[in-house]
Amino acid sequence: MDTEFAVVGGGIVGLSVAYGLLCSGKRVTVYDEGDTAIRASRGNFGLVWVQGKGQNYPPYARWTRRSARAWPQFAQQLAQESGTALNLQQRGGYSIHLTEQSLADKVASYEKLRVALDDDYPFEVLGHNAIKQEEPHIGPSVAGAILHHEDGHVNPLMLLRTLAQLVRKRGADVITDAAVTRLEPQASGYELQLQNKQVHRAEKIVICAGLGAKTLAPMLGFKAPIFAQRGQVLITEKMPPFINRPSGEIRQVNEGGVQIGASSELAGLNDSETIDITAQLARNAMLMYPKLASASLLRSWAALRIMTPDGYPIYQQSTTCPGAFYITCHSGITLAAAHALLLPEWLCSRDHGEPSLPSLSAFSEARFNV
Amino acid sequence: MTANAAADSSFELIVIGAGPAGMAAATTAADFGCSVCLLDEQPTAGGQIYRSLSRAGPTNRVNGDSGAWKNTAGKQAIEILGKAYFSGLPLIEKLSAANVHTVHGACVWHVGLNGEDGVVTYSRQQHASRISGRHIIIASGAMERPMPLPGWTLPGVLTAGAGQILLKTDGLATDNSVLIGTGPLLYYFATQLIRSGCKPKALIDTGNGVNRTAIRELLPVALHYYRPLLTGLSMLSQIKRAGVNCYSGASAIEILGDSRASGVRCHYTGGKQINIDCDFVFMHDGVIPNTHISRSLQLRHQWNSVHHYHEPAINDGAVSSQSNISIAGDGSGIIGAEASAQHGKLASLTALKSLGYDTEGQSKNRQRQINAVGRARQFQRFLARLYPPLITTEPVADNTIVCRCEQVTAAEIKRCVELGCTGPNQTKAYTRCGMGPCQGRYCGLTVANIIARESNLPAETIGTFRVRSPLKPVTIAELASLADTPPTHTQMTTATHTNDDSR
Amino acid sequence: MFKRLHFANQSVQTTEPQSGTADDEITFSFNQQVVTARRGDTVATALLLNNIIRFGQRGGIDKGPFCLMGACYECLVQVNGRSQQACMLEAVQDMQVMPLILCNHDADSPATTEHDPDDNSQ
Repeated sequence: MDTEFAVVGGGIVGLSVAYGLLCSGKRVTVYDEGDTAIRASRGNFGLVWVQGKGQNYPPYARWTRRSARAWPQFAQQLAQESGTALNLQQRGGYSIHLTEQSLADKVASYEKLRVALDDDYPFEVLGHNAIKQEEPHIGPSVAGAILHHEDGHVNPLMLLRTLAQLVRKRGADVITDAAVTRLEPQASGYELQLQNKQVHRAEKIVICAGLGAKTLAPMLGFKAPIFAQRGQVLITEKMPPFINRPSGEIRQVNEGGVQIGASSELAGLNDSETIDITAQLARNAMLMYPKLASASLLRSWAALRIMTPDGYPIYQQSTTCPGAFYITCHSGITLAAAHALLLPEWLCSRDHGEPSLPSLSAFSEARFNV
Repeated sequence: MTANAAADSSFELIVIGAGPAGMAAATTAADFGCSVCLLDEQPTAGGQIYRSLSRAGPTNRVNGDSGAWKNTAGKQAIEILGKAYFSGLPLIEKLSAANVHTVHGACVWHVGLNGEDGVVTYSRQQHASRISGRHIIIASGAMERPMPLPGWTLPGVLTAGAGQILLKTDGLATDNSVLIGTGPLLYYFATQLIRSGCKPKALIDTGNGVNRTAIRELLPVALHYYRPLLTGLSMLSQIKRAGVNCYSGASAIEILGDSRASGVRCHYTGGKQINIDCDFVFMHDGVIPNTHISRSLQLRHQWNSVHHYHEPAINDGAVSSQSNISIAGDGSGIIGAEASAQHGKLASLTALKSLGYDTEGQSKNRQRQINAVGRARQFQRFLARLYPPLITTEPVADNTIVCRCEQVTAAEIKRCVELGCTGPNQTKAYTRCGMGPCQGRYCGLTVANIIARESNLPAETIGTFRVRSPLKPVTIAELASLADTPPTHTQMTTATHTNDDSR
Repeated sequence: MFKRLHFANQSVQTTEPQSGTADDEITFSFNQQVVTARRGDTVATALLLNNIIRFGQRGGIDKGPFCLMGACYECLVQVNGRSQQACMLEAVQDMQVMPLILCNHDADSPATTEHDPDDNSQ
């Protein structure tokens, strides 16, 4: 065997999982594509986000919060090992609303979730004046906001780079420019064929290949019912800090730029930005923070989310190929801490006695059975 | 005819850039009665080469000969700036007489396709407009190649092109300067400074000198290009005669200074070292095509291994890999001002034909233009061999800033290669190089070069930054003005999915 | 320092030699310092003529004009509350131009001042 665990995918999800396995003393090889691959990890919004997640699916709400709570430890560990701060900030975040009605609707749904979570869901509702107190630059057309105390954000590119650095430091083989084209179960373990025709062998396989899993995962008996959902994002020039907390729509990144997002639309694998959508994002952003009107927009971009039919993650061990795992989600940043700190127990189940990991059965592919 | 284009107007042809190629393309199309819109960023036509030339207006000329001017100021202008500059006047005059909808001060920041049509978005005086055209000719010209040296970010370091712009536009010159680099524009600028009475203190030359490969490139076109060759020789002798200290074979160049440039240090032929005090440094390392628009459209590009730059792939008629988009002039690969005008005309005629105009009468000119452009490309290959970019002969020093906007050093780029980066886009994500307001224009080539060198990969496999909208920064308000439906909360809630599914 | 050459002091546009008249002269401010310019000058040209070559500071690095053709964004200054390229902006009477100064700051640090008036002395 060339390796114990072959992690297919070198994005945030793959690297988080690889990092966790390495911390558990496993031998890991990461397979990553090249410079122009479709990469959600380079295009995301950087939120470590709790509110709104799993509104109608408490297991997902719990899993998300589990990860958000593990983030401080995760960030500290990465910073200690790498010497790089990830600029994690978890001082709460907003859902900003322009009408009373939409605010009320959202509050109602959060209250329902709070009941489902045994009253443990720390959010508060801020009217216009209250949000204005917290965010002096908020616009007059903002009706109010929901402040959820567990929300936060991080520098996602720093996270990506730090993980890329640390998995190498911890001894993983990382093979870049190596698209995996075929996965095949052997009498013992698995064979991976690369685009350059090389064949590698591994005892276990973890597929974290984003949209690439659509073709790869079925080779090992997974359904992988995923599709691409395009999101468009804007970033302004660097500005002196004026936004205190992030929201689902706007955050000021640690370097000073203001990130504005994000749309969602179906566009196949087209990851180009469009004026129609970005113009709407810009207009909404101006309503929330009028100061942004005169800010220079440096760049807009689009990236592709990896969506499942219900929007929740998949954690699945193959029913036909034991030792083959499939992981997908569209919140790779929020869930990175859980993926690194908690998933190794699941992936190495034979080695561990006492489970500290919540059941992942809520995220199996079985829920997509017709 | 100059006017504000109304938003959402449509044209048969849109030309982007009013340099020699763009002016010729627009004028040619107008002669056929084609509706054409010409967008240009500067306040007057001419591009960078003939920049501000129209201010020298036709009224002042006698006999239609740019050599004869009525007043002494005009005479001095010609003497200092050189006759080549004034040779652009006929193009500018033809354009102003033609029925072209010209919009100056228009910063194009998005080019896209909408079905069969191209859609160009631009801002003028902070007002954004969108126009559509059945065919688009990109004539975005050239920019100077980034020349990363220690200290090149210090105030007081300008490109030689910038020095020329100051001279052409406002008649500004400075003494106590040092010129660094190589290439015709640098020598031309040196002679302009000499004639201005602002002789540079030194010329630090990084060129190769005449070599066999260069001569081989020159031979096929030497006869057609004897005049520029003579001009070149005459420039060099003017610099010598003026007594400018020239240091050839320069290496390990450093620009010194604390909060502004105060001197230059380098080695030169024979391993000697020199330290020169100065107030200003002008650097130049040749020119490269401005490919931001063509790359944003993801048109096919190729690596040119003689020039060491990426250029869009075009056919004989200047049509790109997208049939309704053409690329003319230096933006298609460096060909020089004169050939750019011919290329613009050629691009226009090809586009006119595809738009259904009868261009049969021009068919015999077509081959002549194709040949002329081909010879120009050959001549530029000769210049590229003669004046190779510094980055091909000397690696960028580790502590040198590569990305000026985000202050990313060469060492940081090298570390990315160790982290598995095989191209500029992953490197950008890891270091922020190319994320600043210039959007990678002044670091892209350097980053690609360092990756190639460090990973021992051929330069043509490295690729380029993915260019995204806006092509140049615009305000959030300008972008927002293009939103065509009133904001509703539906959009707001669908706008929260990036890291947040509310299902 | 940069100076305006004779030919540019006399218009080449008209047949009559004409030196820069009082009508042509404008004044504006850069960092509260009075700057003289000629109508039609860009802000970058005017500042260079007044021996100002540091237009701002970003990430602890002094910035001055570099390409003057609108491509490098090194000459960004602040006018009317927004950052603009000094080389693409025509100077007008009484315009208030400030250097663009951006500090590196961390998410947790308090808001920094936009500029330090004493920081652009030449």
